[in-house]
Amino acid sequence: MNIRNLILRLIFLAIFDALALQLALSLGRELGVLLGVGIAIYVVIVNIVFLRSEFFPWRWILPALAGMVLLIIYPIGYSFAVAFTNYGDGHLLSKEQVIAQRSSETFAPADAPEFTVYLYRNDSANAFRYWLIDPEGRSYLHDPAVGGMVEVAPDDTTYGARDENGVPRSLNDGYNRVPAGGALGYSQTLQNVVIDAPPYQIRFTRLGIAEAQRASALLYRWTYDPATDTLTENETGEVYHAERGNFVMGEGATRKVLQPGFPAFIGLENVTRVITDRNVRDPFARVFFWSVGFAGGSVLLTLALGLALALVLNSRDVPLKPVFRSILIIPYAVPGWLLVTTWHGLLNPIYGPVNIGIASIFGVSPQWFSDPALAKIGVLFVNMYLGFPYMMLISLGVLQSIPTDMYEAATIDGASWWDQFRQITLPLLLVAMAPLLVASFAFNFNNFTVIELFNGGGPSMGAATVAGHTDLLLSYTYRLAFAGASGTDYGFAAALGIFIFIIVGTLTFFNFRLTNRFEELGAGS
Amino acid sequence: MTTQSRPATTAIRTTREGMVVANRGRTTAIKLIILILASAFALYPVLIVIGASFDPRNTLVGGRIIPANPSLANYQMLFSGSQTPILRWLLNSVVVSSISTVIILILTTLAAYSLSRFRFRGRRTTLLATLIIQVFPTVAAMVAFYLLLDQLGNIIPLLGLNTLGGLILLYCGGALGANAFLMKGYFDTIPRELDESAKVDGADEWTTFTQIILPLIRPILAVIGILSFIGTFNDFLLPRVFLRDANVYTLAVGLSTYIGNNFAVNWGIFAAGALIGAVPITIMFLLLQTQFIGGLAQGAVKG
Repeated sequence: MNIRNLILRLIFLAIFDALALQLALSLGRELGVLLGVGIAIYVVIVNIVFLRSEFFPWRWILPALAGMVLLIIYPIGYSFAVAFTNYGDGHLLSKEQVIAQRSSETFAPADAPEFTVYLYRNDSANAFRYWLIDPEGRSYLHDPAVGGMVEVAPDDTTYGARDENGVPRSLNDGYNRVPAGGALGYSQTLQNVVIDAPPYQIRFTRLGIAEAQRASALLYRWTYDPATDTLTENETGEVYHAERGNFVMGEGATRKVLQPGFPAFIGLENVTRVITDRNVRDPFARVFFWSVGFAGGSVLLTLALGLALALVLNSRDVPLKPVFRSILIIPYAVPGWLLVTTWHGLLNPIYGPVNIGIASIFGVSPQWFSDPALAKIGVLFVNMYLGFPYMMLISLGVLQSIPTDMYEAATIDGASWWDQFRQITLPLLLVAMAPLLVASFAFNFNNFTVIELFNGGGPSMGAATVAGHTDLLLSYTYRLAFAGASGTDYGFAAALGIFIFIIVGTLTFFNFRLTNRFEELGAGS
Repeated sequence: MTTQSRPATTAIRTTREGMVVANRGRTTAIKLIILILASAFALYPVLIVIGASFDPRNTLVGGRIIPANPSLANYQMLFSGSQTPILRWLLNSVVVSSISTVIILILTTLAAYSLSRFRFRGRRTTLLATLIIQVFPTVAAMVAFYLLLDQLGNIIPLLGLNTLGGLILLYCGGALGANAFLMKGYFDTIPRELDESAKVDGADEWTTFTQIILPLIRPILAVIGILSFIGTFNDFLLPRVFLRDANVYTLAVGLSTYIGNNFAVNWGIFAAGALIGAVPITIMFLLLQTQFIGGLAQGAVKG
């Protein structure tokens, strides 16, 4: 290794370390210590790998590995963490934010003193000072630049000459008394003025035309005690304790819950809700069975049509086979979003050309987007349109690989075409295609594009849920998390996401076993 | 034995073929009709879109495949840019897909080269890990992606929610999936004697990689590159979830939002915009057809 190379590498590492550690620090602060520590460990590994030649092979892999860990493994882990919480609407702010929000609330106690306030303004500095007189007649000066209140003795003339009421006509440093009616022009500024006078904070309750303004002494409404993790209401003396993401007090009918709450660990409740809560159980069960039905139906329909066309295309006596094959691939080659959107228009009950055609033949225009059963048939039909070319292509491949002498032998034995198809073609085909059929099932189980673009998962199942009759688990998850009119529920959405992981993950895992993907790892080593 | 039995077989075959010949005309006709009907089914929506893009009426109502007064009005409207940000969306899609593809190619090529050429502790584990993560449909973790991008955006605005950078980041995160395996398989087919002889001539690992190996893997680079490009260009889910403002939409999300339920008033411009985006993608796909089919059939028979 030459010196120039080493210096370049050190410079690169120094820059990388600085940037990555900065990122680790800020991400760790925002998203949890774990992520920050993870990035920091990665930085250390990068340094070791790039400085020690025995780790040479890892230099090539580390960049891709970083992406994999940050954007696949971490989100999966994060989903698990969120799934055990009630993170979502009503529980979006962190606990610290909720407490901070509470801490700024005030109330006027029954025995609160009221102050008479004179305003002094320095026009060139655009600043105010305040002369306050309490109910006992004591005078105070508040300068926002200094803060707090300074009591001023009646005979003290440091601040300027007094008028007949003992109030200075002007203060030093160019502050002049705001005359009657003048305060209203500054109402926006004055409304936000808070003068700290422990235990009180003094605010202008209302601004008047008179020269002397009124200000009330208010108390902070809440006190948070970290030791007991409670919020105390200072006016009533009620004590709220933190419970499952809210500060609450009392039980049963007298129970009081403070909103908003914060995310809290709720154990398996997002799972048990699916069993115990009727408003969750019914939509979930329907969505789940439809997901299975849609995926299974899509595989069957695309396979049936694709295989039929493959059989026709594979026979010897058909002319223009390459032309037909190219045309039949079109639905697979053209972007799916364009075709689903187009079918959405073609099936429009009022002016869609296909529906006009159906109406002219059968006399009725099917309501593909408002009738639950028809919506399911419609989206299956569109998905068959999108998917049959894929099945046709792989069927063709398998058909061409079946040795022709098997058919010749069968013909000699007197087997009919149907017998040959059932006894030779279909078994061989299904064995060869099984992994692809499972993969196709897994793909359609999560086929968000078709469902979302055909009818947005609709028609709706009703006001109690965000789920629609054609929603898959994935699009239901999406609606729960982001698109629900009734708000977001990240915790439940994450739990559903994990459910999808488990189903599709298991399927794919066994599929990989079936195709010996895991054993192939050993090859070449 | 064999020579004796052959005449008999031939005889049977001839008779059967004679019977078939009589039916051949009819079955061929039926097969042709099936293929023509299926082709019409396959082409119909595409032809409707092409027709609509030349139909100045700009509506699906009363639409026909060949419009009454064909014109380029929709395309002119599109390129004048006054109507919609469709060209902006197209540009966004091209930017996202191109950058993602380049990054994916760099990441996977480097990783696959190491996994194919070097033997080291942890190699098998890495391969297994890349395989295992393919098992999980990562889109199901969209809540986590969302929150991750949301926070990331506070630190690096370029990569936050509602940005093209954030979308690119998500696409690149999944780079080390199927692609790395495809690429590693291709590297494995290149004889190691090639790099060994290069090393004998004094080339270091990096030089061997860039000068000897890289030129040899152009075909697989092209295949993976085009696959990634098509995949990201056609993706609907991630941009739907993570992009919220119309000016950062990709073509798929932008156009589907634009048309919404307004087939009666926006259909022609939608069709023109969609075609400009979809035609190059479709041609790319058809050019790669043999690659797709070859790969698919191989996989199918192998299973």
